[in-house]
Amino acid sequence: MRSPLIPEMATQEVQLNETLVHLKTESETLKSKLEEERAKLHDVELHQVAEKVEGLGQFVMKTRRTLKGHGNKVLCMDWCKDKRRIVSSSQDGKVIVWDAFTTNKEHAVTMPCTWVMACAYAPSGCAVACGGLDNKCSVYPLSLDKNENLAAKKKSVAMHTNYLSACSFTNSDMQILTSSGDGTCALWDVESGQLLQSFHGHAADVLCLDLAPSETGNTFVSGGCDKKANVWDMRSGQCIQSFETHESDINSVRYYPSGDAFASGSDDATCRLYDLRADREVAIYSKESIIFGVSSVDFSLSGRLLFAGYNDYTINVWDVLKGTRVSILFGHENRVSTLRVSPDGTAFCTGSWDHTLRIWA
Amino acid sequence: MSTSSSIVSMKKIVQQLRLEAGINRVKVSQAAADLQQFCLQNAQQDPLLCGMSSSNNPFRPQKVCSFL
Repeated sequence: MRSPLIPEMATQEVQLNETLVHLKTESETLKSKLEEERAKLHDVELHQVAEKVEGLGQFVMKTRRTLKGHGNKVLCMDWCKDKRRIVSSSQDGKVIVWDAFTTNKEHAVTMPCTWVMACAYAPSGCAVACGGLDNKCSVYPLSLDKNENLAAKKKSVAMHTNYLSACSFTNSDMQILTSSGDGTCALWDVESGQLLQSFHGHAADVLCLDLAPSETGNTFVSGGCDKKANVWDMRSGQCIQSFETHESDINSVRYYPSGDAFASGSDDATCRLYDLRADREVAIYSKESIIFGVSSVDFSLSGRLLFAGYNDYTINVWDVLKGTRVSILFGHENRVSTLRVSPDGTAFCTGSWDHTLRIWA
Repeated sequence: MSTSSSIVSMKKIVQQLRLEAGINRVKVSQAAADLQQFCLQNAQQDPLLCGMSSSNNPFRPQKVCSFL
């Protein structure tokens, strides 16, 4: 005769299952409630509010500088606060610091891995951070002595269990925020390499992040392969808001200059604007003719223009308020992979799989 | 996944949703008006929007003087 399941275990299993069902039901109810609450406040569209605003005229933006030197796809770039230096990283394993005015290369570092997907300039201008397939984020102090071997002073700061997709210094050279293919973001102390806070919530690779403008406090936004954009409290590690309206991977997120909203660019060929106080998407920037993914987005200084780099080699310039495209820029001979507006808003830089960087103004 | 670990993750999800459901929100009309106001207030200081003259923008070519 088969021995029956011990009675207490059977009851326990049933109870656990009941609890699980209750939790699932509560989760569905809360999701519906969230939808309802957000919908109640959706009284108008952004472009309707902006109907009375004067339209933008013709824009003349051209490539003003081309930075040549990388041996393979450019994957990432960042501006120095001095508004003229740029750091870029490439699939060729090299990280280069350029003077964008003269196009001269000032420093070059060869990383131990290929696919250096992330790089960032320190606020002081005295160091750069980078990483990629090595799963790490390393900091290199920039020496005034051109002959000095930068690689010798390298400091390993972050360790993830999958590729590093993005990195950014916080307000000082002392802390770095990272995002990774391992699905997490993390905040690190540069000096000790210690993990200060980790951010869990994405269900797949995190591809991008952006820190809120310093006036708005300690938050940042991240975007991932789970199609979600999450806003995080840096101190508690808590996800405070989450947005899921894109139909594919989110490759780039950038805060609106006031800190009250952020834009995202996705493989679904659209850019979207999410307002944090209304807690919802308030604009979509798309056209039927645009079918290739967006790799990177950034705002002009006033937030009126949104620059977006695409996998079809172009840059589209959008009127953020009216939702219309005001310009399309050609020049790169392969995907645009990275795009940043300079700190004083006089120009923007793009990096591409065609191995070059371009400065546009 | 066992039932008890499913419960642990569901509890986290429910807790997160409760947090998100509870935040204060403003109407889109208000939020949109504020975004618009910020743009308009800062428009004059936006070089890429207004177009800087060649003499001010370090990236635009300087006009060359020629002796007649």
